[in-house]
Amino acid sequence: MRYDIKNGIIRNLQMFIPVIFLSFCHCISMDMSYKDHHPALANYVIGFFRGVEPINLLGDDIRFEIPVIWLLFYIYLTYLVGHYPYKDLDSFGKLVMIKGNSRVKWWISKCIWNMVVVITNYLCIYVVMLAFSTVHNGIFIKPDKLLIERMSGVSMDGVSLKPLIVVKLCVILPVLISLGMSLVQMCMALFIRPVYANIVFIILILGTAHECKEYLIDNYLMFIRSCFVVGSDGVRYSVGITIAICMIIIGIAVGIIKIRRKDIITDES
Amino acid sequence: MKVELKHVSKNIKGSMVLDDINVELNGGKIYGIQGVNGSGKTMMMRVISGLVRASVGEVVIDGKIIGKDISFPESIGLLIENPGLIMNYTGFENLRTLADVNNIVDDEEIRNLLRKLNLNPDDKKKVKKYSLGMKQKIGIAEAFLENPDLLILDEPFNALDSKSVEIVNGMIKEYKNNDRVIIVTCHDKQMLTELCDEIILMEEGKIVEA
Repeated sequence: MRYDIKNGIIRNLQMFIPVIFLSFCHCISMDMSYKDHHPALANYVIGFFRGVEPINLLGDDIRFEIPVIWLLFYIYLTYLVGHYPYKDLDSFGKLVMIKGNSRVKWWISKCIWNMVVVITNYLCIYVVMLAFSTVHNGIFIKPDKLLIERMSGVSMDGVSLKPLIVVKLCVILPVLISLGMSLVQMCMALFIRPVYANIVFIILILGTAHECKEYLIDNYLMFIRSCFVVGSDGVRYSVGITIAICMIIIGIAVGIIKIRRKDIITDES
Repeated sequence: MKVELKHVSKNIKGSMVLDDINVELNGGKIYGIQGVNGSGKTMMMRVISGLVRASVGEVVIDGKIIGKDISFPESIGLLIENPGLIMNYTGFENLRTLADVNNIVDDEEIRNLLRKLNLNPDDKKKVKKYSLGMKQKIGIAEAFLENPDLLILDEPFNALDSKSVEIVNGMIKEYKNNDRVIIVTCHDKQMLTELCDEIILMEEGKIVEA
């Protein structure tokens, strides 16, 4: 565990720079787009996680806006968590595993590393946004509904935007879903090459665009696809939490089963 | 220390890389494994070390079955193929990081190990800037770390100059005692004959002479 925290995080802090950079870009872009409203912290956060409306392929006016920063963040996250454990197992990590005398301990340590990396990435986003909103308004978390309507194009009439709902939809749910996805992805990389696991999850992220269905997990990462915002057309928070917890448990448990029997052989062999 | 391989076979993607291996390795001896590329030497080392599970048969270390009673031999040092290194650490930091897992080796012991191999423990150069031979020596130092009872060295003389070969040879001989099993592979038959007490000859995944 100490090895993964030191080698995989502390001595590898530069891995958080892209996410800090993306958050800066997002905040600056919001400041420039909505000069008349100084965004509150909640607006920055909702802006980041707002997502896009599903594409109506049957409609006359097919429009699809690509949420570039949102997309880059999640693609980067899939890259980060997919490669370190595999590379580690191929080199120094196998020695650590042998010295530690346990395959399961090695896997659990990687799961904890994975969780710390995901949570820290989210923290980077929130801290940058907190800094921006503090400069403008002080730490003000109540979102400006009008601004959200302008950002998302979705009517906020009758939508309750209490800070707790923002926390649920833009902090708890995305963090848990990301944890579930990254653990399952890491587990998949024990069965197939990490690059393929990476591709599967990128396809999953991109494939969510057209439909708002509860089985497409990335819908839970988009604020405007929640039933709190779009009513019964949206995905339910409780379902999202359940899926996330199941994915976390499955990722860890299947990984334990697989690592016990996995042959540790390098690519070259 | 006693290592036993009982009817060990390993099948990878339909290819039999180890075929019914039966061998007993006892403490106090240096065993040399010889064979051409693809004869199964490295795979046998992997199976003994616990990195690879046997498809059939069992590997028993001091009465404990790998994969059943233990995940890996309890006291093992290993150099298989390329040394496992963290490239942006110095040589000392690599060894310190590995030693931190069990925390039974102090800094001075690591320094002495590096000095024995003619490496400077205070060298601030990152391993990625080391020559192949220096990387190999760090890999050898990692294997010797914590004075393991089972020492596995797969082609330890790769990339080493003649002086370093002599040093490593000397270290291996000096390391031999009644409790320790040392297994070495090498392409050079003469070198292996001089170093080892017993030679195991492998061909196409089988032991043909022991």
